[in-house]
Amino acid sequence: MSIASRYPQPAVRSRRGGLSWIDRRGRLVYGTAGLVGFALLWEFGSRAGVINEFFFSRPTAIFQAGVNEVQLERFWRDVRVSLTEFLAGYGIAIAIGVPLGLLTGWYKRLNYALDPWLNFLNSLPRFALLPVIFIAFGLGIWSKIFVAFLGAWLAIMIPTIQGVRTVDRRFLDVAASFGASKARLFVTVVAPATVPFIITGLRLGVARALIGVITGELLAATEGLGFFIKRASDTLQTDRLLFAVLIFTFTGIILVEALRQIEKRFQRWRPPVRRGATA
Amino acid sequence: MTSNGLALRATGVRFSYVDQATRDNLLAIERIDLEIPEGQFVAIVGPSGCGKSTFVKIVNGLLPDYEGEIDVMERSGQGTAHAMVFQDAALFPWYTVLNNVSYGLRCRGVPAKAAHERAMPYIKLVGLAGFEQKYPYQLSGGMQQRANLARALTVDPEILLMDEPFAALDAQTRELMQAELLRIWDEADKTVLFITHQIDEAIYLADRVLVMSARPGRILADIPVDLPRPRELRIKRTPEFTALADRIWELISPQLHDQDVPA
Repeated sequence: MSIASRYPQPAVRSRRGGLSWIDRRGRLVYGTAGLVGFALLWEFGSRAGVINEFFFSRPTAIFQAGVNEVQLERFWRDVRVSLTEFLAGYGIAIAIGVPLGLLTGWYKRLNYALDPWLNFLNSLPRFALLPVIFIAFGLGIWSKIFVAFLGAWLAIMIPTIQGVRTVDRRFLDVAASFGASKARLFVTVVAPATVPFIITGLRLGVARALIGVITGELLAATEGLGFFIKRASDTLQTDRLLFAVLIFTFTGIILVEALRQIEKRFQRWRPPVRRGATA
Repeated sequence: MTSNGLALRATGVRFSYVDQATRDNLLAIERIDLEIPEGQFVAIVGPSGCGKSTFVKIVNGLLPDYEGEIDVMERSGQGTAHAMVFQDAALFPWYTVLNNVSYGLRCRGVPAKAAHERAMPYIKLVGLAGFEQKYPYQLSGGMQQRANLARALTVDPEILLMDEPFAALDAQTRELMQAELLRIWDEADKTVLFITHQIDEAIYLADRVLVMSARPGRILADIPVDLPRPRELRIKRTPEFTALADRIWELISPQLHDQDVPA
């Protein structure tokens, strides 16, 4: 046994000197393998009777339910309603949360004034207030938009404030020393330094807005995917129920992944993290 | 030196501030009177915390609440009065070298393309040709300081303010950068106010070394450096050089706090 082999070996390298395909695409390969493995266990566990199909259904049944649903007009209307509520709530949250967060981070007095409110609103049990929100905004889409907005808004705004407040003093000095105007200072220093924080907020906001939509629809609605889930659950159709739940989770995954790509674009100036850590 | 006008005059500059933690009013600078002729290279040395960095920040306009008077003579050109070369480079990490170096011009309203064109000669001057499109993280410490210097030179300042720009570099790179700075100073023909805590750096670079007291800062001595130019690094080993260094050390060592001086 040679001495070298007692130490951990470097990852397999291809002829071009880079990591092998499976390592370069590690995130994709292992991620997919994990999902497929889980689905297989579920499917055969259910078929073998180890998992109670009545409660947990099984992947092929859920897939079949999905195939049936996508041919129905009713389903697409539910999707459209939920999507509208999500996009409106999330969009308003971004439109208000990002600029207000930048300003609140920048102006100390505004920060002092808003700080108790931010804490109050963030620890507010939003869903306990749903009955009041329904009374105020009605049972239509506006109450769901509001709940989605309320959740996402603070998730976006709080990190944004933090980002502005932690901008490196030295960079502000450099800008001031060259006589940068307030507007230029904001665009050239504050905004780029805050981007990672804003993206973090946007990522947290996706989940908050989706949960807001689905909860609002579960409690009181006549359409939307939350209502779809409620109908499926009332009639004990676990496969349809899980199909709708999966739509929500996949939407979340896709959006968060899209944000990751956007972040990459904005972060070209950062030194790349060690390959193994992100690959 | 083309004319014998003054580049900077500071009269009775005094600066105090309120310590955030203790709420005490602290006097950082007791009094500084100073005249720098155009084209002169002046170094200020002093123990850490003596207010030397504070003084350049005041000259740079970053600390407006000072007492006394500071006049920076405006040359009839279109350059700025002063520009700062910051400690630890402080390049914007999100900008390329080119965008960093042209930042001062952009702040003065020069359109991007023209600013880039005007920045290029300075990038070449500091020896960064070919690195225009690199981000700061891709540069070594010495190269970052080169870009930092080019950024200040690009706005064509009357006075170049340098706040311990080589303090964070390793000893060898620092020596190299000192020699480079003299070359660039010779070509760019600027007045320089250079802050450092290193006596040999001050003597090697400057025409004149000002020695500051411990806090509250004031100028203890104004020592002319008569070493011939152009200076090479080996001048640091001549008897004249070491005599000057000893003289300055004699002035500074009593200023150091007891706990910092070996028994």
